[in-house]
Amino acid sequence: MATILATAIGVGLGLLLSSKRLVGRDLIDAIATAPLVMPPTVLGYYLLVVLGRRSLLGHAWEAMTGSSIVFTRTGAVVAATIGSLPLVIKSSRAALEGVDRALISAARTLGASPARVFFTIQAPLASRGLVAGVMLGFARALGDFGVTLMVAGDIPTETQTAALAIYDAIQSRREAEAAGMVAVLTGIAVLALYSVNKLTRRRE
Amino acid sequence: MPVHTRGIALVFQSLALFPHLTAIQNVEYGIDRSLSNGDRRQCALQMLERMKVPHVGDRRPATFSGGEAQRVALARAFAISPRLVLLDEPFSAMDRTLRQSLLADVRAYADESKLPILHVTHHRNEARAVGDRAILLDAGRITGVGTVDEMIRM
Repeated sequence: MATILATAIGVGLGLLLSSKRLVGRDLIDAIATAPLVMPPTVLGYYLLVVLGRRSLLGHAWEAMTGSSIVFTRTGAVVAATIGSLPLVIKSSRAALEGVDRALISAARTLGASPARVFFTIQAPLASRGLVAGVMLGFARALGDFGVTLMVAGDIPTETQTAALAIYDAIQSRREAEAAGMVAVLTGIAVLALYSVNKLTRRRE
Repeated sequence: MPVHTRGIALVFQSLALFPHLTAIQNVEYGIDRSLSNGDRRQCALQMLERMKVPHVGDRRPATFSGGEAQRVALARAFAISPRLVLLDEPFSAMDRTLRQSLLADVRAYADESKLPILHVTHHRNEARAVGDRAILLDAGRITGVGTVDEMIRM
């Protein structure tokens, strides 16, 4: 779920940031990709402030759905989404900027709306970079620890990510279980990075 | 007025053919989308025939020769039934024989369909082959307006 959300928001922002006409795009890029270098606790703190029960957003969400965002599965999804978003944004922006501007101009003079240009020209031509970003985002979301712990806690079967489950298993001396999960996460991370390398190299 | 509603077709110097689409799909791209898929395909095929490149229909731009690519780009521009076509030095990289043959076809199509064309060129012969009237530009400023022969004599 976090990967789907990060893809929709990340590719959208990547498209926006790839436009040279956007005023202040470097500042927007810096803010949107700051989670990449921020300590997870700082990011978690911001999310608690923005999404907590006393915040405007958290209050509105609770009034609509009857449950809060923080310390629920929704919170875990938001935490993983925010954590993986910068990777999707960075890859999407780079991939979309790599599409020849003349092709976009040509499509526009042929009567295509901006949305049609994106779906028929930009997205297919940038598809390798877009897929690479989504794969990195997926791997990042799967292994989220700090932000999820701050925003959604560590509730087994509810908000516990694989990384949190490993931590719990180590704490309660279930080493074999921890080793199994570590192997799976390592495999996914290596596979994701290998695929990303393959995809971006073929594009070059 | 947004670019996509102006009805002005542009043939770029780089041609800007969509590399992931076949020649037919390139030409179909701008054809009125209220038409059925079959009709649009038919229009695209007719335009490729008109530009003498029906044989490249199912191929992608990477496999075209220089002349074929120029003709597909022209077919794509003409296929949208534009109010005006802008040719931004699309023939500059071609050899003389190929260029003359293409210019003759462009001129014939423009006359037949009463289509106004604004052709940017550095070559006098190109201007003579395609144009009726010419505007002379020097360093971005208009220095003369008249018939092509008058401008060439200037």
